[in-house]
Order: sequence, then C-alpha cells, then structure tokens
Amino acid sequence: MRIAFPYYTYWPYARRGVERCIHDLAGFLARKGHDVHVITSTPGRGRTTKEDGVRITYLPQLAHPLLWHYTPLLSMHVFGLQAAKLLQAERPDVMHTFHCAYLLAAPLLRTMTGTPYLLHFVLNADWTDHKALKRQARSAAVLAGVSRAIVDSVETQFARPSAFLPPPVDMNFFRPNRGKKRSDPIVFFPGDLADARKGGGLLLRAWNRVHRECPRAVLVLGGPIGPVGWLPFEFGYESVVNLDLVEDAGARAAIELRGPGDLDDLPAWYSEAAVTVLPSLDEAFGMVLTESLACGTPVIAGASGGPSEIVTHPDVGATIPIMHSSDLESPAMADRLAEAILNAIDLSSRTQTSQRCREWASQWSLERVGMEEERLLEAASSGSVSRAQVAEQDPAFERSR
Amino acid sequence: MGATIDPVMDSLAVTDRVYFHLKWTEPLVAELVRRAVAVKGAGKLLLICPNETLARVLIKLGYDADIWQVPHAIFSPQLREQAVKSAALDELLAAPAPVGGYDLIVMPFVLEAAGEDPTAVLSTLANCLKQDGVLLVAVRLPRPGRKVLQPALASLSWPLLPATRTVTVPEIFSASRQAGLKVTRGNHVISRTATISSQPMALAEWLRAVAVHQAKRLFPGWRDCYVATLTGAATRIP
Repeated sequence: MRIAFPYYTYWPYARRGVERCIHDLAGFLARKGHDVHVITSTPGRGRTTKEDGVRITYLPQLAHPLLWHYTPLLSMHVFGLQAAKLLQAERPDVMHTFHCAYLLAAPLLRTMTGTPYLLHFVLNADWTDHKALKRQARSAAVLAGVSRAIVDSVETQFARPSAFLPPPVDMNFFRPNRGKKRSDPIVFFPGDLADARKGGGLLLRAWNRVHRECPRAVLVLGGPIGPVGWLPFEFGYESVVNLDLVEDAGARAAIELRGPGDLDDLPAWYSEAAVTVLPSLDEAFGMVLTESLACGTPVIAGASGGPSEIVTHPDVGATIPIMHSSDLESPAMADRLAEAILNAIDLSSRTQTSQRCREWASQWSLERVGMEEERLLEAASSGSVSRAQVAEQDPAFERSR
Repeated sequence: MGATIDPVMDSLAVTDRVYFHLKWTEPLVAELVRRAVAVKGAGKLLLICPNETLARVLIKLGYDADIWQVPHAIFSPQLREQAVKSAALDELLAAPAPVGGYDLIVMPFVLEAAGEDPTAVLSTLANCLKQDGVLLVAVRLPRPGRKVLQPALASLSWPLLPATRTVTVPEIFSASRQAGLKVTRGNHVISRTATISSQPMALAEWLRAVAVHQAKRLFPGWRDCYVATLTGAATRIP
C-alpha cells in the first residue's frame, strides 16, 4: 500500500505522543514493505528526506510573532492546504490522519481522488464540536481512538464503531540497557516543562519532600521545553521552569536538566531511573509511561485520561487523582505525589519489578499495534469497512475493553 | 554566512521552539564565525559555553574543537559527549587547561558571568593560546534600565550564564592589556534578530521591537553586544 501520514508537526521538531506514534507506525509499515510518506512541516527550509525507509516531506512552516498572537491556528490550516495539494497530486492508497491534523480538506480529497482515510482521535470526541471535524469523521473509512475512553466518546459522538488503536511501544528499542543507580535513585520526568498540564510544577513541589526523605535521589528533567505558538496562550511558558517551587537549595542542586535529548538517549534514561513520573492532567494516552515500563521502570502518573488505562496494577506503579487544574497546584496533591514517588523508588528496588514492568508494556508492543494498524488501513483502502471489520480487533485489546 | 549556517540549522535535531531561539542568535553566531574564519581558517579551537549552532558550524568548517560547557545548557547529546569539560563556569575557568594548546578560543557571554574579574579570566585563557593564537570575546553591554528576563532554569538560545558583573568596552581594553593581550579589532554588533519568530507579539510590541532593531543597525553605539578580537601583544594578524 502507498500510505500517507499528514501531520503538522513531526520529529525532531515536536516530541509529543502523536509525532512519536506516527514515527513508530510509519517505520513499522515501511519495514513491512509499504510505501510510507510522512507529510509534515519544518521551522527551517522545506525539504524531503528518507529515514528508515520512510519518505518525509517537510513543508516550510509559517511562523511570525504577529501570526502567533492574532491567528495562532493559521499556520496549521496553511499546512493543511499545502498537504492537501501534495496528497491530491500523489493519490496514496490510504491516509492515516488525526483529528488534530488540520487536514480539513480530507473529505474533499476522498471525493476527488478516492483516497480513504483512518481518522485517529487523541482527545475525547465530545470535547470537539465543530462542523469541519464532523465532516471529516463522516467521510472517514475508519475511526479510531488512542484510549478506550476516547473510543467510547467517538462511538457516542458519531454513532459509528471505532477501533482501539493505542500508540505503540517498540519493545526492541525500549529495553533495559543501563543499570539502575540504587544508591542515588533517579526520578525521571519526561514531560514538557513548559506545558503546565504535564504537571512539572506539581512535581517540583513534591520534590521538596522527596529530597527530604531520600536526600540522595536526583530529579532528572528530560522533556522538551514548550512547542511554538499556541500553547503559551493556554498554559504560559514560565509556569513550570520555575525552581522557586523547590524551597531548599540542596533539593535544587539535586535537579538535573537534560532537555529532550535524542530519541536514542531515551532507553538509557528510562532504564537508569528508579521511577518515571508524569503527574499530568487529561493525558490522552501517556506514551512515555509505556516506554518507561518497556525499559523496566515503574511509573507514577495522573489518573485522568489514558494513564488510568495503563497503570492498573500496583506491580508497575500507581496513579494519583489529578482530576482538575487546581490539583496541579495543590500542596495536598504534591504530598500524595511525593509519597507515591517514594513508594515507587522502593518498588523499583525489588527484583521482579523490572521484568514485571516489561511484560506489562508488551500489551502495547509495536508488533501488536502495528499489525492492527496495518489491518485497519488495509480494510480502509479496500473501500468499505464493515462494523465487523472494525470490531475484529486483536483479542488482547478486546479482552481489556 | 547564511549558506554556511542554514544547512546546519536544517540538520539540528532540536525541538521547534529551540530552533527558533537558536535562529534568534544567528547574527552573533554569524559574526563570530566570520571572525574566526578571518583570523584562523583552521586549527585547534576551544569553545567556552557556545550554543548548538555556533559549535556545529565551527566543527563543520573543520576546526578541531574542544568544548567547555555548563551543565544546564540545552545541548545535543552528540555535542555533550564531545564536551571535554562540563562544570559550573567558574570551575571551568579555574581548572587547568593545556598551556599554549589552542589556535583560537571563542567565548560568548562568559566574561560578564565569571566570578573572577575579566583580567584574571583573560590572563588564564591567554596562557592556553598558542603564540599566535587568537581569542574572540563577545560581551553583553550594560544598558540603563534594561530588563533581563532569564528563565530560572533554562535558556534555549545561549547557555544560561547569569551576569555577575557588567563589562564595558574600556574595561575590555584595559583587562586585555593587563592580561598581556591587545584588542586588534572590536565592534559593537547586533547579537540577535529583532524578534523570535515563535514568540507571540501584539502589533505595538512587534513594531517597537522592529524599530529598536533598525535603530541599532543605524547607530552602532546602541547595539547590545561587543565583540573583540584579542591577540598576544606581539602578534600580528591579517
């Protein structure tokens, strides 16, 4: 099949779940012999490259201070039009697009070129209520969601069956490859430091107690520091990268800022950590959690959204009830988070934990999710997709629904 | 210079926000690279606290580079591995370095952040230069009423080196002289573009930023940075 993934941002310029999901699925499909084309945008000059058998077209991105201030979505919509033009010329057999890909012309493309598409939701469908998205959903050959809660919301909103297609974790790439520092346990935060919803601020508050009770622990901040454009309007840049939340100078000195690093660094960073922490609010899925588990490291996460479907066994970590934005600033929640982190440091020192975490992560293995992706795209490209075809999921997925 | 820097920028595996912050620093990066190439086209180079673009461009141009970096710099893993020293700035400057080992030393925004006074820093580094070696120094100039907005933990453009002192142009001349160096060339330069493309700005704010930038282009004395080329007192350079 000739498969296109149109999405506004991509690795390395944006390192959130959707970009990683595309990266891994595109690579998997290319290895299976499909002709895979990722169409995205770049802050630099437009160009086409090939990585791991995947062709990547970087379209030049609109970026200007006035644009981000007055019409922050314009850049995404311009990308949608540029991508549609390219797709019209290229006529792939099938597209995998996301509800937040700003490809509003997808239904028109389907009419003009006959290109069917899988529309993947990474947010609850009932949070989005605009006509263009409904048109996209109506014309999609297959609807899918990254979590079971999102699948349910898509089915309710559009009265159509939706497939469960979580982001995959590459178990060969993400594996324990570095020993844990038992005497100086590392608490690893892989979330975006500038996105308040990821809970970096709450973690810094919690760090006061963690450091007091476990003075040799080190907090490693290994996430990106904000995407460009629209996000600061909603969450503010400065809210998280604020060490004043850590009261004690010794506790501050035990914080290491690594930044997002390189994809190749991540397995070692997860592996050496005692616990990976993502105390976020309304996380769509929580890809970093499955990656951490695959590297044998337990996790602590906020309970809203996808993490509550991943961390469901005390052997692999715990969730804390971060359900509202006020929880991200609550001293009581910071205390709960600190306690959970301390417990997880203890959990990670047990001999069976690493193996148990890795086994748990295999539920979302790239092999399993990739096969499911391929099946759904083949069904979509065949023309019409029956309710039965969508429902014919990997038994492991079905069992857990 | 764009023809040299653009391909490097395209190849950086950085996030989009970091990309735009690095792009913002391009005028100073271009100035330092231009001067480096003019005074020493090749050789052993010491970079003290460079940003990703400056380091990559100079390495791509063929310099055999040693890098000294502070721990909280946003630096790619490859360059972090290449850093021969990683420590707080004062530790970097205090630790022994090879005497007479370098053809060229480039140090942006270090003098004003060092605990030691500029004369002591320049004296130490002068010892690391080969006999005909060259030191490129970039200093942020003090401006009355200038608001310095530094994030507490990270800087995406240059490594975060909070200024501990102000360094004026006469002080650079005097410190160089006392360190046995002479300023063979010194210019006020614009260290950054008018705006960061990814940073939202209202129209009035944007117009002000563009107007200030244009004014700096017209009046060198208003520029925010001074770049000096220092050589041994007896050295002549082209």
